[in-house]
Amino acid sequence: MRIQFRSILPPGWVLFLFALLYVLADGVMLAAAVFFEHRFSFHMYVPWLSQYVLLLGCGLLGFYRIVAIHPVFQAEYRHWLEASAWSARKPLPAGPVHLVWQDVVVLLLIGTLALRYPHFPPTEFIIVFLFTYLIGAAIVLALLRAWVLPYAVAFGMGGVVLVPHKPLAVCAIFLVLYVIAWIELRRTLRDFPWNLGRWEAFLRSGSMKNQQRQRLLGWPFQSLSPEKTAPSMPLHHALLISLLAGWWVRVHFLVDSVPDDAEMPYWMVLVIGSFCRVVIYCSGYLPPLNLAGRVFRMRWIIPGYDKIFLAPAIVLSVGYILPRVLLRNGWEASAVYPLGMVIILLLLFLLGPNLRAWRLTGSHRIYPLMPKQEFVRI
Amino acid sequence: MGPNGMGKSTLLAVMAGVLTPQRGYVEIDGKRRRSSEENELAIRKQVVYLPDHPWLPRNRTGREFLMAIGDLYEVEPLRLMDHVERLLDLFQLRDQADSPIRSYSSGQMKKVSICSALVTEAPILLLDEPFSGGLDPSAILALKAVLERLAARSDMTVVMSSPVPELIEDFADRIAVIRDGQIIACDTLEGLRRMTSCAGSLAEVFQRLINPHTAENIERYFQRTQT
Repeated sequence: MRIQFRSILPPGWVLFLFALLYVLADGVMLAAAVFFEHRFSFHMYVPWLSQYVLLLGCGLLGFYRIVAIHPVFQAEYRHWLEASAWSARKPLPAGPVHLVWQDVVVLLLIGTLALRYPHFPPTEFIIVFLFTYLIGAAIVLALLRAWVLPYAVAFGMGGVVLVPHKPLAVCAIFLVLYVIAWIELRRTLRDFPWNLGRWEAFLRSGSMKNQQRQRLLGWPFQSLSPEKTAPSMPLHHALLISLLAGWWVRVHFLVDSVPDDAEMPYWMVLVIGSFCRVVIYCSGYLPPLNLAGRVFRMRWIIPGYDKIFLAPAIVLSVGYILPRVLLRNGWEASAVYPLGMVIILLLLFLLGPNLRAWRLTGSHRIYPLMPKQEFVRI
Repeated sequence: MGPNGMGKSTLLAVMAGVLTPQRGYVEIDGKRRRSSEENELAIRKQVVYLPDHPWLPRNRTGREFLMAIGDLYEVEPLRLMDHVERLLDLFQLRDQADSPIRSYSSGQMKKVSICSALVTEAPILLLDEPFSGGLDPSAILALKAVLERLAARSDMTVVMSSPVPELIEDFADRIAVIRDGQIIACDTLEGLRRMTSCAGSLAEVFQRLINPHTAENIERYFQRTQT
């Protein structure tokens, strides 16, 4: 039993430090209460510090519970598993990635401690633990390209925001999300060993900077790489991300009492999204003729290049006109803007040319866009 | 070949897929450049372009850089390691191989960039003035010998630009001469000799094609100087 508890909890020194911090937090409050006792009622104004320490601890524990134990983040452990006779039918040697009865014991202990705090019901601490656990699981599964849980968490959290004061509804959402996490974690373990692709180097070096540095090849190798370097957005991701953004705009409308504020994300995404698309397409890929060249040669439009401006122009036009038309026809703003968000994002993602096709087949001039601190030009 | 500013580098950049041609198209091994993603990627696997002013990652060592380039072109790892060692020996870079590129001299950087093109083992090399950039005499000789051997192979194509006829005379199968953005001649050395009615070296043939009045201009220059 000791080994099992040890496998789901952080190292002893971390627990000791946390316990020390927790006691100190209470000690500070106690000293302050004694010191100020005769001047004013201290407890009226300052809440117990230790409740926040405990909340933070629950959050960190939930995240640790999946991120520190799952083999995806531990290259050596993963390679050892690959070389061993381990299969998904057997327990993971470093500890289970799904929640077990020992976690329930730990959460019960935390819940008991939480009974001290009148303003925080014990369920809040458990919800924080589950929240960070699910976020960690979503990150793990996203790395393994299993997208059901990441999207479910992103949609589900919107539901939590809508019913914050209904603990049963919140618990139901978390329960559904946990079931999805359990199924997906099991499924991905069955698919072990994993091909982590470009994340392999990152996870091995432990640093994004190192990973980026390994991909720095200079001019012209980086720009003329024979690998498919430009990302390409699959249809289902485009659809789900658009729906997700629309859902969060809807949530924003439902929880925000000021409609002007609630419209703001829509307009920001419309303008910034269109601008970003132009910047992404033009960065390092310049027109074959500059403005002076176009004027001099009387070639105002270069179809092979200027086609990249068509999509942002359509998005801006549709994004500007659509809400006005729908509002004039009696639609409610809380429906118009979420719908508009879905449509403009879908157009931004799906209108051609896609980035990979553009970089490989567009009529552009490839320009070495290299940071000077990383490269030297001969 | 051609004088400065006549379009040699531009032509190579168009062939390399860096620039889009205003008219016409580039076709390599039966595949048209930028016609489709598949064709473009297939061409990129086969063709390596080395501009006259490449950019090198300043914080990587020469060896790391060459290994990364070979890896990019999917050269088998053991073969790649062996090839990198041979290149470092050939261009006398072994002592600097494990130092960051930022500490190299410009000539050493040029050598590393040439090695990066060679290490890919790509069947088509597009080299823009590979002999320029401060190469020392032994490196020029080594590169010339390497290009000579590669050009002799039936499965290799080397297209290179150079303003110096003597460097390419010995191994060029066909020589294109560019003037004012136009290819005014493209033939073997013998063919160019016939075209210009000049039995001399490639330098003399080149002078006839580019500026037939050079000899007269030289005479005139010295006459003025003496008077």
